[in-house]
This record gives sequence, structure tokens and C-alpha cells, in this order.
Amino acid sequence: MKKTTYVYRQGKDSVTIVFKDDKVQSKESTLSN
Amino acid sequence: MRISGPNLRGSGIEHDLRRKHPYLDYEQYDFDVVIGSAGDCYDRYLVRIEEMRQSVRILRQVIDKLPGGPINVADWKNMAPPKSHVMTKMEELIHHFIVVTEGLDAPPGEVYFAAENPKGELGFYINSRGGGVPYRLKIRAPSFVNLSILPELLPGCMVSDVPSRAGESGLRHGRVRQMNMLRSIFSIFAHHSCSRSAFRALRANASRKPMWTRSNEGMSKKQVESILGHPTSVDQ
Repeated sequence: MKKTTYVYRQGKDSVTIVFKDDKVQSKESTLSN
Repeated sequence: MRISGPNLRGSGIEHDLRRKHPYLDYEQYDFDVVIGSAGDCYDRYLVRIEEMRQSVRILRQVIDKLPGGPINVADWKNMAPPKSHVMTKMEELIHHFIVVTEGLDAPPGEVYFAAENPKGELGFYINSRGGGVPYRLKIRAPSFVNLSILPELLPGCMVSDVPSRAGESGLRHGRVRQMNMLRSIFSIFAHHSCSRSAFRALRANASRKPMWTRSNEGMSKKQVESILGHPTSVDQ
């Protein structure tokens, strides 16, 4: 199983997306929905 | 980049068609070719302001040399006759009709003529096979050519700088076919990594739904990147 984490940053805010086997497993962000 | 006019002169290059290739007796008039030194937005603005003063200077000289007499030649087969003649004389009504509907009978051949305009070199290439309409016509609109400097001007700037930089470069919507220009500006933003997040944020605000929420579970990396672009960092 291969895990990859993508991080998008913009100033103080960030979005983190975790992939497991090239599929999105979870996502979290400091930005509001 | 083939840019011309105040955009080119604002960067310190002394290129003015009225000096380099004089036409319409421009060589008879005294005027300065205004150039900038810094090549920035403010410099181009200063060049334009000074060029207006130089235009007034030329106009004053033209008025002093303006001779009296009629403006048009009295050749009614090639020039529309005065309205008073058209309304009262049958022959000149016919001349007016032919000049307006068929145009001048141009000789066969081809020509390119360019003139210095407020936004740069406005040129017309005409290919004629005789008659009143060209066989081929290509217009070199300076506004369209000036688009080519946007990829150099816009990357890295704030979104709020776009109107001044894009507008100041002398663009006119009619000449660059409206939506093509907007598409170009936004594609420059979308393809530049520094501006990508600002652009995405703008789009998210417009739709009231942040872009990152559109990446759902089960999506592949490719699909996520198509929505959010390349990540700032990747941890394996």
C-alpha cells in the first residue's frame, strides 16, 4: 500500500489530501467549507 | 515581440514611424519622439501624456501651414460630390451612387502601409486584383500585437494590478475580439504557479463553494490535480 500526501498552501491556510494507492483517502483544510 | 508605440518607447527604444518612415509630410514638422527609462506602467503613462503635448505641437504647426481652398479634388468619378450637387444634379447623383456602392477602381497589385497610431503601428496589407474591393485584406492592429507582452507583464503580479497593466498596455476589446482577450489573461493566470491559488480562490468565491471541497474520496491524483492544480509539496 502506497501513501502520498498532497499539501496545498496559500499564506497561513493549507489543504492536505492523503492518497492511498492513488485514490483520495482523506482530506482536511484550515479553510472554511 | 513586435510591440510598438508607447509600449515600446516606454522601455527606452526610440522607434516612431513618423520619424523612421515619414508619411503625410511628417518630416516637415518639429516634434520629439518621447521615450521612457524604467519601462514600467508609470513610465508608459508619462510617455503617453508627453505624446499628447507633442501632438498639440504638431497640430499648431499644421494649422500655421494650412492653405486656403477646397479640401477634396473636384474629380467626381473618384470622390463623392458635395451634398448640394448630389441633391440637385442627376449626373452627380449617379457619381455619388457609383463611388459609394462600387468604391474606387484600384489598380492590381499589393501594398502594405503602416502609420503611427496612439497604440502603435496600425498597418494595412491590401492585395488588389482591380476594382473597388480588395482581393485580400490584413489589418495589423497594434492592440492585438500588444497582447504578446502580457505573459511578461502579468505573472507574479496581484490580481488588482491586472486592470492597470492590461489596460495600460493599450488593449482594446474590439480589436482583440473581446472574449479571446479575457481568456488569454485568465489562462496566463491559470498557468502560472504563483497565481494559480489566487485564481482558484477567485473561482471558489464566485461559486460560493471552495474548490478543495470538490476533491472527493476515491478520486485519483490526476482528477485532483485537474481541480486544484499541482500541489505546493508532496510527501511520499
